[in-house]
Amino acid sequence: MSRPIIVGARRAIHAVCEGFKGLVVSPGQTLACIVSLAVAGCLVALSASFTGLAVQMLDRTSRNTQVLVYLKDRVAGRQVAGLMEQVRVRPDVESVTYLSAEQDRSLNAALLPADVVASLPEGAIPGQHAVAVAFRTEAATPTTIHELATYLKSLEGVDVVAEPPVGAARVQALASAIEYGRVVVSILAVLLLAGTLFFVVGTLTRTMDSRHEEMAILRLLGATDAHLRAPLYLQGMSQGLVGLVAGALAAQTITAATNGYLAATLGLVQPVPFHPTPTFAIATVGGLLLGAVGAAIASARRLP
Amino acid sequence: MPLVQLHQVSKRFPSGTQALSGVSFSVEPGEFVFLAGPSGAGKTTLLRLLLHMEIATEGDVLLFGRNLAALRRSSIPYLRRNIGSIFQDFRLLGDRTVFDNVAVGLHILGLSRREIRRRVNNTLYDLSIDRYADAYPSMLSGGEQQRVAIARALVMQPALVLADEPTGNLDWELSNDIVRLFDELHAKGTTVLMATHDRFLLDAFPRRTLLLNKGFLIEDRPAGEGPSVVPDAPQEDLGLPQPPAADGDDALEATSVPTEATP
Ligand SMILES: Nc1ncnc2c1ncn2[C@@H]1O[C@H](COP(=O)(O)OP(=O)(O)OP(=O)(O)O)[C@@H](O)[C@H]1O
Ligand SMILES: [Mg+2]
Repeated sequence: MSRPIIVGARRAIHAVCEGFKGLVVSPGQTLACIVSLAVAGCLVALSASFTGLAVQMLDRTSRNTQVLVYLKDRVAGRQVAGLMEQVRVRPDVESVTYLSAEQDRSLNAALLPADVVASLPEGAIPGQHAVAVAFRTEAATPTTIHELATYLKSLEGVDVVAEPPVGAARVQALASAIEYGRVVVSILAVLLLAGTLFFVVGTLTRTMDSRHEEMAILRLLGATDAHLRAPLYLQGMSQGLVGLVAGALAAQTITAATNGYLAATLGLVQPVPFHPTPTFAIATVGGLLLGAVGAAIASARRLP
Repeated sequence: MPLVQLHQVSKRFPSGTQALSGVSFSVEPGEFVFLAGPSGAGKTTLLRLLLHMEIATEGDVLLFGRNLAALRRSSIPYLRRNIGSIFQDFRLLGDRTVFDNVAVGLHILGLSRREIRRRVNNTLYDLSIDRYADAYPSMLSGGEQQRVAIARALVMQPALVLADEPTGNLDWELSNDIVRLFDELHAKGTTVLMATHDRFLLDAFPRRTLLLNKGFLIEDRPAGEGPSVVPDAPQEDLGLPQPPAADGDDALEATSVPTEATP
């Protein structure tokens, strides 16, 4: 190994030792700082998870935003194909599916309690072949749906057009509510992280104050800015890292517990989503970044 | 090439105080120079200019032939590694042992543990404080604490030593010891610039003396010449302590009270 590398390594080791000393200058404050980081990180991760769940549910609901186009009994296959093609090319349409009379019947049967279905004679539940037209989420406004329904009704071979059971207005309201919630959650997350940043800066400033004399002496002995700053950055970044990763771990535990509870009590199959890889990656990078920014602010304020 | 060079250097603080006015002199490598003058003369300000802790408002300050004003901020630390600075109030870290206090600067250089131990122990031995390596500064006398501070400066093997009233808190005997220490250092080739307003030391060690008063360099007295009284200024006005009386005990008493240190 070349000499500069050895010297650099020794300096790095020294900085790590000094940074660790900084962590224990006021252990209570360091701990409080890490806990607040963990709480903030956990809340941010949880809100992301729950908004994710809401988005998934909205997506499912919007998939139900479909118009059933019941066809007249006697329509040629070719005509049906032409009609489907005509609808499929519209920009606001997500998908077009053909339902046979049997399929429609079983869908209708699914809406009734099983014992009622069993008690009914064969053929009592109506079934009619149809085309299911699903909308793109963003296009599913009451006006577009109504427009499309009117248009479909005008096509040849169409018997009845059934508008969606879940009102598009409701889907839209839900979507905007989620959007609103997202904005609020993002603002809260930013505020929380800004708050914890103050905490980090406070802890580091305290370390600097406790080392003020030493840093003044080091300056006179020829310490560079980097030499004085390195321990502070290490201290801040390790605090940020431990805090946010702990928060992510807490969020993972809480979502897992929530999912277990929901599955056990409500039989919900839709779990609260939690993506460990991106979450821990963001926690790591975010923690390091938060610590570095805190150290930069603290050293700008206090470096002799 | 002179080690220290000042050309018409003035320093005015933002408060309006004119601490230095048109000071010019140079110090060659290997010289021992006293910087004398009463309280408020500008001695500390001059040393702080050399350490680049203050910046001259006028004139040029050259150190090792380099103009400090033209130096990049990032090269200041490397310049300071060649300067050992010592202060009246020692500035030791109370929560570190003597060994750690002396070693503190060596970590900057990225030396190995072994090299640090070797250098610190040698320096402590040279200054006869090796038995205090594991003690804390508060357990030492003033003279011993100042030796630790000197060890911290010398362990960096500086080419230039700047000492600002290093004996200000010490009694006569200890002051003599400290200056003798600087003398030995000087004999080994280190350049020493020491600020003092202790008239007895100036008498006892006839070295080149730069006399400052109210920010002006009023005399540059070569080594070996006796001290002179500044014209138009009674000695009391200079704040210089009176020379010891014929009675030795009185003299000790008179000087062992550090006027500067009493708040
Ligand atoms: N940071 C400062 N801001 C304003 N004025 C200052 C500052 N430092 C020193 N002075 C003033 O500059 C003048 C010279 O001060 P300096 O400390 O250099 O004197 P000195 O010769 O070291 O005195 P002493 O023997 O008391 O240490 C004094 O009038 C002092 O009040
Ligand atoms: Mg002074």
